[in-house]
Amino acid sequence: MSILKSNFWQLSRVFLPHWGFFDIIGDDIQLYIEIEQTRKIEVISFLYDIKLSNLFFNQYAHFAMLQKNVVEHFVSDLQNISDQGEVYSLSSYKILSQILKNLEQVKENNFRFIIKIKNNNHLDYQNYFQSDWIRP
Amino acid sequence: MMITNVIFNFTIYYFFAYAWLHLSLFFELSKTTNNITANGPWAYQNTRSEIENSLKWIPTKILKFTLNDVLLHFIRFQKIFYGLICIIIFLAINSHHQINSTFSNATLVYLYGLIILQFLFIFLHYVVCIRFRGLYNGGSDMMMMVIGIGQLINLCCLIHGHHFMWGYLFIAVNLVISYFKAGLVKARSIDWISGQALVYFIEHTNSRSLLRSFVLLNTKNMSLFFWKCLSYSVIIIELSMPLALISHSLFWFYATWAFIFHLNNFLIFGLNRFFWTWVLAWPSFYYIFKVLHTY
Repeated sequence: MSILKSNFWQLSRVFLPHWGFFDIIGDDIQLYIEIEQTRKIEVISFLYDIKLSNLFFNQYAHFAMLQKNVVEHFVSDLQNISDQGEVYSLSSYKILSQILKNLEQVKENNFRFIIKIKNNNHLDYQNYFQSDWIRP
Repeated sequence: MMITNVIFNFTIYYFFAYAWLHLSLFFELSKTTNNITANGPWAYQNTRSEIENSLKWIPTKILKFTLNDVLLHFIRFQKIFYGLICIIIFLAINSHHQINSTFSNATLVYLYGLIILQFLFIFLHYVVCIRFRGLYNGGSDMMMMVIGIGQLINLCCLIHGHHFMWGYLFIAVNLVISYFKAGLVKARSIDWISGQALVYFIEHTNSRSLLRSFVLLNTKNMSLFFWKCLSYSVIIIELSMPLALISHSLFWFYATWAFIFHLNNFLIFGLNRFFWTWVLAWPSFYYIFKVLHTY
């Protein structure tokens, strides 16, 4: 909720915008999905190609960045909740689950997603969150 | 007289620019409409509780109507949207001709028409931002909003017969602050000072482009000293952006740098909207430069 609030107020403050969103290196976040039937774990990257024509219309890149941002905001939301039970009511969780449900890899399969994070203190990715099994 | 001409030419330029920004935004949205319909990830029911909790003072029915129904209809019936853009361009061209000849009641009608449409576009953009939780285009949404508000201020200036367009000052100040603040954040960051931030961003972006592949291939051959120099140059230029107002040659140096900088950001990271919004905001800065050096 705080994300929407902050964005809402930021946008409302258009006469004196914030401009404070630039260039900070955050934690390195990796998203994985695990298929229940096969127990196969796969890393999910929202990749996009850039051609010169995309200078005019670049919907696929925007959509890929949007999906990547949802993962980052979900991690940020997780840090702000007091009770783990609240996770499943988070908007970012619902959006992320829906994005993953639409993936080719999970169609017709139960799956769960795993988030791993690597920050400055660690050399390897550490498990950060693992969802319950999600039905397609 | 020269300044008056500059104002008129800039006004028409900004309407084309603003129309273009919205055209590309809604065209891109229309290509991914499935994401905000009932079965898509950004379906209204997924963000409903968050939106309603944040905007408690607005009745829920109105929220749903504006954030869901209006937006979906606008995207579905794109022709209405493109029609509105044509009307904006028509009004802008006509008001431009009118102001150049005589300022009559007809001019006022055109200008008020533009104000209404400008409000509508700002409102629609605002709805898109809330619906995507402020994430659709990141920071470029902010600059697009600044340009929209700047245009509204300019229209008010034109109606009241002001010779100084305060809207351009508003856009130019925000443009300079955006660079300055970005430079300040980088100057305080150890990763940027050491030159590692640039390498990190290029390595970790999800884009696949020719330029990025070329840079990645050569990253190992380039010493950290090279990246450090590049980081320092970006920081110094961003922090010293207000100096562009000093002389003509300095202005064009900074403008060229900004153009190349944003183009590179597009070629490596795919940030096309950043390119357009920032490049389209630069003429305001030029207007302020012109005004400062004329009087």
